[in-house]
Amino acid sequence: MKTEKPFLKIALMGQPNVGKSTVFNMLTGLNQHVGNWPGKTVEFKEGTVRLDETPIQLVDLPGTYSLTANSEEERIARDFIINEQPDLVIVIVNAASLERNLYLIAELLVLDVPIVMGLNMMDVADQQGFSIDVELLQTALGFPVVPIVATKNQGLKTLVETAKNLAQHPTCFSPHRPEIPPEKKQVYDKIYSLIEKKADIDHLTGWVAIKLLEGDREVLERVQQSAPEIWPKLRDILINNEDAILAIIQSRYAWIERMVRIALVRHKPGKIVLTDRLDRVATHPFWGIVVLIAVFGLVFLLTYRVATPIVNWMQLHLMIPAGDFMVDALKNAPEWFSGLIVDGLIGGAGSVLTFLPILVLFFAILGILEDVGYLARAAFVMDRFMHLMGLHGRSFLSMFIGFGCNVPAVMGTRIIEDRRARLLTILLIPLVPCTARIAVVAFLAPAFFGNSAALITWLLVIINLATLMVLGILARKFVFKGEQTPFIMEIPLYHFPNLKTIGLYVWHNTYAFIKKAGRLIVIFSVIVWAFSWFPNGDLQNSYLANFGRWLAPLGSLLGLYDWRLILALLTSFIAKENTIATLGILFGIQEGSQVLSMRIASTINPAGAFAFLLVQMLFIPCVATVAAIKQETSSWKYTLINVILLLVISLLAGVGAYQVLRLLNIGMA
Amino acid sequence: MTGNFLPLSHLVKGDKGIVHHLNGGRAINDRLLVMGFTKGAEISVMQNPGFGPVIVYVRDTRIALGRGEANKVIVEKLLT
Repeated sequence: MKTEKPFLKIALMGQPNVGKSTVFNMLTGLNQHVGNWPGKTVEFKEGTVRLDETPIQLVDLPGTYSLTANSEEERIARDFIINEQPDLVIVIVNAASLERNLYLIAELLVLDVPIVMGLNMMDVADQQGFSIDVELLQTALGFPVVPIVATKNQGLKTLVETAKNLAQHPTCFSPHRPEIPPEKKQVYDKIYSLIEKKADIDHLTGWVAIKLLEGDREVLERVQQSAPEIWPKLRDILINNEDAILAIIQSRYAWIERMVRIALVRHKPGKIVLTDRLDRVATHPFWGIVVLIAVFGLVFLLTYRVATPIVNWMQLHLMIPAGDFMVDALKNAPEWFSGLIVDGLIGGAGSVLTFLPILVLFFAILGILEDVGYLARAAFVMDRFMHLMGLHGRSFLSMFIGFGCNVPAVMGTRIIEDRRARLLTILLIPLVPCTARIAVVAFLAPAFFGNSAALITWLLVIINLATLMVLGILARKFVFKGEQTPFIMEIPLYHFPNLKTIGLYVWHNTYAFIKKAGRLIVIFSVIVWAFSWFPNGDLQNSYLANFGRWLAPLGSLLGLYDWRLILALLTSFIAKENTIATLGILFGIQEGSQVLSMRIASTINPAGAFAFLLVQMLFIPCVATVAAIKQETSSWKYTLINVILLLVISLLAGVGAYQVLRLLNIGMA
Repeated sequence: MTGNFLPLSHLVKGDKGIVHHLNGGRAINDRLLVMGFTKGAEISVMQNPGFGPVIVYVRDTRIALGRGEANKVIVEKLLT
């Protein structure tokens, strides 16, 4: 039977680290659409492939090891196969770890969807001392296996042609499926006859029966709801077979061993493979940390040497001229209007723009480190430290990026699989002092504290990190309770980065930032500008200034008897470095000059100055970070909680520090 | 070769073992099984500093396990 359809829907699947995204990028190029799965934080990618008159809609499913419902990715992948019923699934397999990779296929075969395997990284398998007979493997499995080298675009055309051919003739698909383990066959049959035509996914009775036997929570709930009349009987059967999952997974691996027995030959590699030689250093308990610090040192060096000069250049040659031009063009317009355009709109757009060089650089480095395989090592090395907060090594990577800038740090939490761990990491990132905050401290501390400036700066950073740790441990204990996801992570083989993959990674992430976070930043900036301008057109008498004055009693608890300092804190919401600019305006002295910091220092005693800098360091994240948090958590509620929490923490810390210093009579002169 | 059952975390770099059973809760066991830690699978230890996570080689893959997880894999140590 030949079915002619206007287009074919093909899903791309694979375990992590098999080169699946390279395959997807090679096949679709820029002809792809990237978004999020509805209501989820997991990335959704689809694209179109055209071989002939029948276009193929290719959907890139998240990388998963299995089809249990353990993670959001796995749920998305299996829900797609069950609900969307694609015409075929292309499974990309890493030839260098064939056995483990076949596990996903063993699960997929129960779902009754045609499969074609793309056997990637044959060259790597070769280096590892494995040789695979593709013909034999294909015969054993009973469905097409196409060898490919994704990075070199080899075999991909054949892969798609094979897939298309099978998708149009689905009846030709007759694979050798893994059997139900003999000791569980009787129970399986009982469950099968019990749920037959009862459960609402009746075309998948076999799959549902197996998942029930495995104790899959989602399927259990679904059956319980759709067929309550069989539930008591079913429950009794399942309670007596709680160990079934062991037998089922065991039998899948037994099937895999049979499949590869003839096709895969392992030669003993003559010398130790490169990956293991590099890992002697990279995963060493001591040298691994040295390597990690060196890598991140390099990242920051690049930021300062490459991104910062570009940002400064853009400020000088783009933003300032654009502002001047608009001032000139709008000289006949009402003053508030030109203020709105120049300070609000261009100012806001400017801060979006100035983030770009930093973001592009960070994403490029992150993309390279991930693609090469180093990120997994870094996560391994840091894991033991992060355990204190109930987090894994991967959270550390995002946090460390936060020292440069919190925005890419928040966006970088995408590498954390577990949603709870991801939310906690996002909550903690704003406590990592970014370069902008350090810059403010570096500018003011010498005037406030003289020779002790470096010591105080160091102390402030330590307080930030200690707060982060304490908050992390508390949140773990009281909010993000429950079982920690196990730390089981594949350490991939090192390989050369693929430029196209990294290029697209940088492009998609930067684009997402401009599109989503960028709009929020501009809106926020305009709003904050309006409060700092109206009703009289100057900052000194604006609503924001009045608010600052209204907060003066609170300020006195902090040792800030001058409302201008409070106002400076408030404007740091737009961008952390605004603290200095605002003080410059309020004290009527051009920013950056030494005179300014001395003048400010004369209005405040050292204890108050310390409290001021402490609040500044712990204060609510900047607008761009808030926007990034909103984008990544897809929740206003969560974003708001985050902001309020940091507001409370920073003020409490400031008040606490000042009152303690006052009692001890330190720095009150 | 009986009575030589140990948690995987007790093996040192270079040691080999055969998985005997898993001793963890449901969530950990399921994930370990999926990654190939099934009964009879051969494991070699690539990295075990004595604290923190370990790296093992199983089914042609290097896998990092948290110390807690490595404690849950009971292996029969192979004498080499």
